Parts: sequence; C-alpha cells; structure tokens
Amino acid sequence: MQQLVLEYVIDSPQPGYQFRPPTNGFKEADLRLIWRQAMPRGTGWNGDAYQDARSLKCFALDEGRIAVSLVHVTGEEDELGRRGIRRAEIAVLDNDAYVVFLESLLGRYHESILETANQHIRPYVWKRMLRLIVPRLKAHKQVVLSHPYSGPVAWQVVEVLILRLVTSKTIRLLEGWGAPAPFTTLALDWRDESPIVALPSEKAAQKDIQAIRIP
Amino acid sequence: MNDSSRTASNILASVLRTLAAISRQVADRFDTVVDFAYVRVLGVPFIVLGYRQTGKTTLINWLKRDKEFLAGFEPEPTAAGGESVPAFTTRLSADGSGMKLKPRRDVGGEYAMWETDWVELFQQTKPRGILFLIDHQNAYQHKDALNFVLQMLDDEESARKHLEMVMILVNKSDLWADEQSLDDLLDNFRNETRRLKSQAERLGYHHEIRQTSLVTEEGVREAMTAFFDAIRPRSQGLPESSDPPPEVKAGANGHKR
Repeated sequence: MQQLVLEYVIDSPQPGYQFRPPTNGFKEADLRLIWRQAMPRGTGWNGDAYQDARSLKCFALDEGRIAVSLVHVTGEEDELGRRGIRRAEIAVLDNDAYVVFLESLLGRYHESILETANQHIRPYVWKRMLRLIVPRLKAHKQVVLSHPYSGPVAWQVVEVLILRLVTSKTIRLLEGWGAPAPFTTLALDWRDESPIVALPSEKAAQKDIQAIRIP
Repeated sequence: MNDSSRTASNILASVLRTLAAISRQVADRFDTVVDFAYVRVLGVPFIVLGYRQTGKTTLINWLKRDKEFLAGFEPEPTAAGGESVPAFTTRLSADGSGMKLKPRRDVGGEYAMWETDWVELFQQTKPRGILFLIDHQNAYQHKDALNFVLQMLDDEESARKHLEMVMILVNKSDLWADEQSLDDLLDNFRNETRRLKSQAERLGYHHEIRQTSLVTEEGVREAMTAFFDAIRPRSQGLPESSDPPPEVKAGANGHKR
C-alpha cells in the first residue's frame, strides 16, 4: 500500500496546497490524477458548520488500483485569514485490498452510529433507495444523495449508508463484482464528483440536481 | 487600350467589387452568427489565472453575481484540482445585453497548480481570453507565474488558437494606489510586460494592463466590459464611459476591429 499526504503549507517558500515530499514511488500520471481527485469538490468549507468535517473519497487509478482519500477540514487559516483549508491522507490499494478495506471500515464505526444508521435505514427504506439508485447506476448516471448536515459525528450515518451501498451484493453484482463504485461521502458540489456522492441538503437544493434524500 | 477592352476591364472591376462586397456581407453575417452562438448559447470561453491570493475566486464570483456581489463574500483557498464553474450570463457586454460566459474552472494559484491545473484548464478551455491577476505583493512570484503563462502560450499552440486577448489586472488598488502609481508598480515587471508585448505581436493577440480593486469595485466593470467585448467574436463597440482611464496601459495591438 502506497501512502501520500496532500496538505496546505504556509511556512514555505512556495506556500499553498502541495504533496508532502517525498512522492517518489508514485508515477507522474498517478500523482496528477490524485492531485485532481483527492479533494471533495465545492466551496463553503470555510463555514462554521464544516469545521472539522470529514470526507472519504475513493476513485480509480489505472491497473485496477484504487485511491482512498480521507479528507479533513482543518482549523487552519492562511496568511490572509482564509479558512476552509483541507488535508487529505491518501492510500493506494489494489482491488482485493480495497474491498476488504471498505468492509473493515464499516466495522470501525461506533455501535451507536451503526444503531442510528439502522434506525434511519429500515429495510423498507433501504429497498426504496435501491429502487432509485440501481437504475441510475445501471445507466451510468451519477447518484447524488442528500441529508441535512449537522456536524461530522451525525454525518457518519451517511458514511455508513454509502459504505453499505458500495459493498452491497446487489450493487456489486450489477458492477460485475469488480471494484466497488467510486464514491464521496461528503462534497459541497456534485459537479466533477464521484458516481456516488453525498451532499448536505442545502447544497443539493438546486434545480439541476435530482438528489435522493436520505431520511 | 481600345474602348472595348476598357469596357471589359470596367465590367470586370465592377464584378470584382460586387463579389468583394458580397463576400464582406457573408463574412459579416457569419461573424454575427458565430457571435450569437458564443454569447447566447455556448458561452464565451475564458480563463482566470494568477498567483495565489490575488483575487481569482473573488473575480469569478463578482462576474457571476454582478450587481448582487456580496461585500461579505469570504473566499477560501482553492483546493488542488480547482472548482468547476458552470457557464453563466452577465450584463457586462458593451451594449448592455446578456452575455453567456464560460470560465469552466476556478483554479488555485500556488506553484503546484501551474503545471497541473493551469495547463489542463488552458488545454480544455481553448480560451478566447485570459485574465491574469497580480497585486502589489510577492513580485517575484507574480513574475514567475506570468512567465509560466507566457511560456504556456508559446508551447500550447492548439490551445491558444482562439486567443484574442490577455488582460493583466493589477488588483487590490485600494491597498496600493495611494502609495504608488500603476507605472511605479509595473516597473517591477518591465521584462515580463516587454515579453508580453512582443509575444502578443508575434502570436496575434491583444493585451492590456488595468488597475482594479475587487473590494471597492474600482475599475472592475470597465475592465471586464472591455475584456469581454474584445474576446467575443463580434465587438459591440465600447461606450464612451468605458474608455480606459489615463493610467491604463493599452496593448501595442490596440483594440481589435
């Protein structure tokens, strides 16, 4: 497993977002793709509501490898006092390790979160959601999920739902048992985002998105 | 030359004049159609570049919101990969009519973004215009960034083929205009402006340098009206009030059309 950090550096002759060196061992093409994809899209991360927010973003590299980017909205400010700075820890996994990783992630959530997720997503709700989601995935259309954002802990319910979704047998069968579909558990814009992406309700309340509301 | 050959040559000249007039009319109509397609349907492609913290995101938001620009707008550092910006319509055309603009992405300005996000944006957008922002601080970094863009213009022949104008906005004039003139500030950029001028002549695009403040909005509307009029396929002609102020450096190529 290869690892990488993309962070905002202030005390440097070349301040700003950059990979933490060394990045040797990574192909130039991988670095470019990771650079482009690692951060969840959208603006507004500097809002008080998103302080300390976390997002898990997984996307495909070549040769069946998957990049897993764990993004955190830091409390840092730049020289002009601008907030909304993010930091991404990226791991590159092969397909088999990726499936195991996702399943193990589900097991790491606190019991109370899993319980809340179960309450939110009763079997009939889950079936109804799959009825909406599966046709979109079949048609290679983006699946935008929405839920009211009230902090990083409460958002874990959405993370659990997405992890269940991408590891679900139905979806994986649909995808030909290849790597689970790329996803982003929290973004502030659906454009340029993963095939499965979750947005806070306020960001999904636009005419041109048909978001599926998570109850 | 006898009478008959004189008559023949007169007729020929008349036919040629008529043909020329017809072809001018056809070209004119074609320009109008292309202009309509860009301004009303596709969006006029342009990009915004510049070193970090010069106001690129604020400028794009100013363009998007126009009169409704929020004084309390708080930008955040643009992350790696930039942010998608869908096409939007403004009233910044010289005749006041709606104009669809397509900046495509808002990209960050730090060094790490140049080779990746800037080049990719330039290649994908094939812009008709480039807005490049600098300010009164970090002169070395602004010079590096401008030199990078000029080199990119030289290297990326296919991406620059529709380029009509490069406009440099010396932004944040509210912070420096009381202390120094635009000429004084541009003294630091002598080599770069010389290079810009000579490249503009060589590659056939127009260039201008204007001072702006996105905080007070001073000079912004005039600069943007002039820029978008210059890069749309058919100029609408600038109103009197949009003439550049005396300190503005007009490009050697002047305004096109």
